[in-house]
Amino acid sequence: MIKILICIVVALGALPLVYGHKINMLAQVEGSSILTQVYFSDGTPAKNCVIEIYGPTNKKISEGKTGDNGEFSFPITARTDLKIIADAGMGHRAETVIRASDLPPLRIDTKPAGKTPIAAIEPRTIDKDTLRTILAEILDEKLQPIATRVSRLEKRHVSVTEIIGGIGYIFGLMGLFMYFRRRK
Amino acid sequence: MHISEGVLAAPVIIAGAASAAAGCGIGLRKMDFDKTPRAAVLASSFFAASLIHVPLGPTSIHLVLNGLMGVILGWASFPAILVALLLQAILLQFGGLTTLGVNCFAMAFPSLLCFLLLGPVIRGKNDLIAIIGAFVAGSLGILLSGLIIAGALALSGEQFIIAARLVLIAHVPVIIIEGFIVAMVVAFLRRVKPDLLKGVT
Repeated sequence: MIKILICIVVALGALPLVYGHKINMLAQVEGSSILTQVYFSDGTPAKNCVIEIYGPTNKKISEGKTGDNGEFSFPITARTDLKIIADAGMGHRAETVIRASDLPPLRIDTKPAGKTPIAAIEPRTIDKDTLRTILAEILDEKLQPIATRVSRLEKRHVSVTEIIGGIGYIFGLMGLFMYFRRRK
Repeated sequence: MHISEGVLAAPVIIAGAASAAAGCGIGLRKMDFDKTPRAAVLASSFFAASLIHVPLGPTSIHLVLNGLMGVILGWASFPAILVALLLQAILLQFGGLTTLGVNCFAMAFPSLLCFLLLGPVIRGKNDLIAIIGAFVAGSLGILLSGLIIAGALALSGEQFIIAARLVLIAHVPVIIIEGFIVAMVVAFLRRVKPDLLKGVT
């Protein structure tokens, strides 16, 4: 009984510090590159974490290391499914898949913006590609706050509820085990 | 101390699972009606301890408590640790289901060794020697776990020396802290409830 109390006191005393020790990775498309952020589940960035990018046939496309802020960014070279693996050593590993459909179409800038005076173009003659580029830029800008918020939400912390739930399961299993032991 | 999915080679996973299954089989057989609650209490402590991180300098550490489990549970450490790891994997995606066996073995086998090697010392007559033995049990639990984890990683491709150094350096504070925790718990239990130190045999 005293032991149980000790456990409860220890657990409660440390509750504000409830964090897990595994790595999480977020990968999001930013313009024509992909930004990956790797961090431990207490939110600290994972520095010098090896990032490997694999193509559809499990062929390694490129690799790199996260900087001090736990971020690594690489250009999108082809519009294919990408598998990104982060390895922080000591058995800590995370992976994410980015579907080809989530990648932006590769932009080929034939006409560098700014060279043609805008006034010279009749409104009707704005071609599809220019329109697409403009729209993409605006959308990127507008969606940025939402993307940041989503990525913050995805940073999952271990909650107190989950810990208490887990302990509940353990005692449930104990009850079950004791029940079968008694019947024998 | 949790190895994630996709890091280990298949033979390592199979060997780990087989050893863990054997340990759990023996542990469950030895765990009778009266000793089940203490296994559950320690499994809960283990479950919660690995989730609670205390910031320490540039990193954060968490307790493993496998030395303590060994001292109190003996063979029953295997099923207790397995249940806790299973729930961590299912509820919180800590470690992984395929690496469950390896992780379980890596933490429960040192518990068992602590119990078999240091149990007699801890139950001995001399208080001071018992408490020193308890300190060693707490430290040894983590130390051996770290070495087994490094070994498992080494067998799957990482270089043993590098992996072992990383794992051990990261756990030096825990090795010391757990030594003190087990020493305190044993000092307390020897006075209050020495029965608990007999383990599940």
